[in-house]
Amino acid sequence: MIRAALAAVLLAAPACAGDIAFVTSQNADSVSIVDLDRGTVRATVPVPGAPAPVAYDAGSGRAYVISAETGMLTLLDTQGRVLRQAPLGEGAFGLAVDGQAGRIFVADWYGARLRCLDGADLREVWSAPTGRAPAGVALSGNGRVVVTADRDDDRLSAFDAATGQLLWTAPTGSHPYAVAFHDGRFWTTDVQSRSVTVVDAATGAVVGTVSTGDHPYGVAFAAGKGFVTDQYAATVTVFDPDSLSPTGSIAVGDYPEGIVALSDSRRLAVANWDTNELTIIDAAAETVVDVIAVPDGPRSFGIFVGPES
Amino acid sequence: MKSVLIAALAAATGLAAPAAAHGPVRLKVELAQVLDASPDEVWATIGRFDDMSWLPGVARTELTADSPSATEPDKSTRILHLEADAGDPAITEQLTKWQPEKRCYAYRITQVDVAVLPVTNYASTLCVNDEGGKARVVWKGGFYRGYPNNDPPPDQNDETALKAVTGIYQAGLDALAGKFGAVR
Repeated sequence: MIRAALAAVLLAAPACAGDIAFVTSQNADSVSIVDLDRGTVRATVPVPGAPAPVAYDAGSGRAYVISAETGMLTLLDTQGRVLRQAPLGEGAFGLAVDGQAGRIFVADWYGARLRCLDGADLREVWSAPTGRAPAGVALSGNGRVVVTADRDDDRLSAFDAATGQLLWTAPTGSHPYAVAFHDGRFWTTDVQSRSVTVVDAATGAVVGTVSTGDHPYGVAFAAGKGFVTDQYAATVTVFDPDSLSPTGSIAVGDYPEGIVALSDSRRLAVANWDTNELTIIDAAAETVVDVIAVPDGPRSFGIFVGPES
Repeated sequence: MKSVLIAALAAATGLAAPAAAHGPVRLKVELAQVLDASPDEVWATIGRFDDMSWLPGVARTELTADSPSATEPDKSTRILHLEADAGDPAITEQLTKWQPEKRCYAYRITQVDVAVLPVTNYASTLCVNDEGGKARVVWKGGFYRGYPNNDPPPDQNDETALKAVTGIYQAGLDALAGKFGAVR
């Protein structure tokens, strides 16, 4: 029945075919590549050091993965081949990739800085100080602004992506962890205050906040709505990005973490740390349409889904 | 006054603890035991947030004065006073989910000395499932080790945290097996 519903979705939107997900299984020390249309794990690659942050660049078919315990960067292709590994230092954590500019942006949790690296040779292009414990990293839609969620300073720091010049900082709720860009705004998950803080990307002005469930972890957008994974509540909070009002809640497994929209903008993929599943949600119907088993402790912190080619 | 103090302590603990420090990795433990009793019988014994007398090592369960009842998520708070030769080792836990229809409840530790239990950011779920008419007790938890930064001392590393939590769950399930009888 679930498959039938999924098939109907696929038939209605042929352009969405071919999305894959890179699932970082932190407790299993592996990364799995999931074919989302088939609902199957294509390959599982051993990646030691508790991999969690990930960024997939669909344009080049490359995924960048950070091992949280060691700061090792692992570069994978869509078949799960390890193309390269490079130590970025123990504090390396959240990251974002700009495929067109050929650059990656990596937060240094211990060093309280954001580093811009050349995507090809990993040479440092610039480095800029952030607040304490920068976790999530996000780029604006045009690639000009890059931000860090500075967890221990309860703020967002924004930089010129080309030069590293600080553009603005904005106060958030308590312990912002993930950050995403949508519709001219940055959206943070404030883990300890059960909120999403909404910040204007151009000016850094705080536009408002969204109430979430307990321990919000990730935020994503699809079908004109916002979706937040609530780690402790085991729900995905649904909200209206215009009014900032919560409009619904979807029950999922315990500790839902990384969340990202598929390229059809109709579905979302959610990593469920506790139940070892990748959950696929129909954004319009607000229902779970598929559940795919993955190795132990999936987190997928970052943009972990995109088209294969 | 007391409730204010407890709220302040809980808030301070929450702020001091790493919500998701990435150096350490969140750990998980899940243990289960099928018992020779109905799910309802077993739930009657373990399905009370204000009574942990079934768990070996707990001397007394105290519901805090500001808890409106033992069934209100985010408000009901218990203090487990542990058996000890000296002092009053204790663990403070807050109810986060109350689902009697599923015979489940969930809670988190809001205050504990790492010398008592070497974990941080601990959250847990206790359920009694129905397995062919028999009770299947499932106890699981997610937590970080006691030491929040890199290079933990041996008494606060991942292994120590896993061992401590596994020991508690196993002791609880063994006690229930002793009371109701184990299946398999």
